[in-house]
Amino acid sequence: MIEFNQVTKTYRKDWKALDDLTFTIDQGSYTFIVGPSGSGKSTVLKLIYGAISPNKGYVQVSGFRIPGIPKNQLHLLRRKVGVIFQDFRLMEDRTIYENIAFVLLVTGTPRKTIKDKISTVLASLRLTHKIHQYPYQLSGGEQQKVSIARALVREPFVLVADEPTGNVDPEGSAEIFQILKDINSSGTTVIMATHELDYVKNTPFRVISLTQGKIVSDTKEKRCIQ
Amino acid sequence: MYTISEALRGIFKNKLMSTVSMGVMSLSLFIFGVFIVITINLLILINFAQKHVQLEVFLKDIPQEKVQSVYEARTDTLYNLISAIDEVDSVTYITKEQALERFKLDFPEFTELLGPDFNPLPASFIVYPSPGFRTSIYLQNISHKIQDTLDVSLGRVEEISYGKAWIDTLDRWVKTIIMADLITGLIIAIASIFVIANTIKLNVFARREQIAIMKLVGASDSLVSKPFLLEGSIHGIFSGIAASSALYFSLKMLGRWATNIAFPTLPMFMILIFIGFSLGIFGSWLSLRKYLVDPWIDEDNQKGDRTK
Ligand SMILES: Nc1ncnc2c1ncn2[C@@H]1O[C@H](COP(=O)(O)OP(=O)(O)O)[C@@H](O)[C@H]1O
Ligand SMILES: [Mg+2]
Repeated sequence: MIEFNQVTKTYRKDWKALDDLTFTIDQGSYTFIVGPSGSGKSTVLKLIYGAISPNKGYVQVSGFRIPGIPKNQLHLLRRKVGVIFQDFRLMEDRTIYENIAFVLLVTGTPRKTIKDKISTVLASLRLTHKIHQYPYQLSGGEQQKVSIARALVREPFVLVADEPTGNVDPEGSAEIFQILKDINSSGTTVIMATHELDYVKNTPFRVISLTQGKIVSDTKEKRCIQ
Repeated sequence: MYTISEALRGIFKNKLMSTVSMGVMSLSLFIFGVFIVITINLLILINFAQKHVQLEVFLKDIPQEKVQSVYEARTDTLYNLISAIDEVDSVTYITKEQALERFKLDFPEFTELLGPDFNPLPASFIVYPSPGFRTSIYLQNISHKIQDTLDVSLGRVEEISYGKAWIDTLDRWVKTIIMADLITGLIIAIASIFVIANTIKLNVFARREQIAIMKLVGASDSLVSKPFLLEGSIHGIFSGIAASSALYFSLKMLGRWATNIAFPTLPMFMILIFIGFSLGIFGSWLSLRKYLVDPWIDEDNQKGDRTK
């Protein structure tokens, strides 16, 4: 479970990127965070993977609470949270295999296990044939799949996606979105920030809308009220 | 294992940065090495010149054959007393005969006037002050202390002499030269550290995105830093080897002119390698601190906002 409790984030003086946000996200759910550019979507996600700390209130992610988590334990939180970005953030000087292997190496996984895990995850994403290529040799959609593989291979309990289809062509976008839904149906919590409202039309999933750092609508809350 | 393979990857995948880093470090260390060699030779030269700073204690002649042994005992006592003075490094006894030999060597034209039967030259002690006490003030102190022993040595001392003027001139020169040398060394050291630190910073900066990604996927700070520190220290060690080898071979090439230049080969190698190693590891650590904090936040925003 993820909990935001009266969270306020100010990057600069007199400007609240997030203004007194309170909500919880259930284990195993799929949640959209939508809103225009600058509304605070990325800020919400950054708080979840511990890139920043709130100025007021707290964020509880699994057993970790921010603020409160010691600096030397932040990396433990990040190992539990899979993150994918609009710009993929793969290491350009490493092959697909090395990129994914890296996240397992940092936790001291044995080489044999690493090999097995990578072949499983790449097979499930139909990327096995690209295993020894470099990121620049792949299309946007393929690179995003690699970054999903990198996030998945460590079995995170939540997958955080910040505009995951922003740099991917429409066909690839549909595939990425489908993959995220599949990941969710196998039990992983997924939180996806997007400003493309096409995704959220008639969606069965929860949609939290932000404007200027405030929640303006939340489909789950409505259902509760009704 | 992980640390080593990452460090090697850093060195070989970033050939240009590695070459630039090591080039800059080697050059700085080479210049510093030249400075050290000059300093060493300067100190040797100064020490050589200061060896001539000495004090002579002339002894009275022994009046009669039969009291010879008594007087000799007093001479020994005096020798021990002078040796025991704090500022004194060593004492040499010059017998009447040795004094005569020296005189004959210095003034061959008077040789015929003198002989074993006629030797007006006194026996003496030559007193060498310890390093750091080689100025006329200390010589004066020593001289006073020797005179204070007169009651024990019972008037064996005839006269104490030392050249006051040139000793002080030498001392002023030595002080000036050492000061100039220290200032030069400081300037070179500061410039080298500055240049090397900036090169390393550039190296780390070029890979800040990689650091960010590593941290994002859950690498601890120490895990991210270790390969960089190892890489920095490898750069440093190789630069140290390069610089000291270059120094060694430059002196070899100077050949004949350089035969009088002192170059303690092993210590020089060790000093430059050690300095290179320390600078490499310390510089990497300093540069890392900045990018370890939370490198991707600001960039992320600029990127995110631009693409939209
Ligand atoms: N590192 C930062 N420094 C200063 N201002 C920032 C920073 N990050 C975000 N902001 C500001 O906070 C607000 C919310 O940003 P963000 O969460 O990135 O919005 P979104 O992802 O919805 O486009 C914006 O006004 C943005 O300019
Ligand atoms: Mg954003």
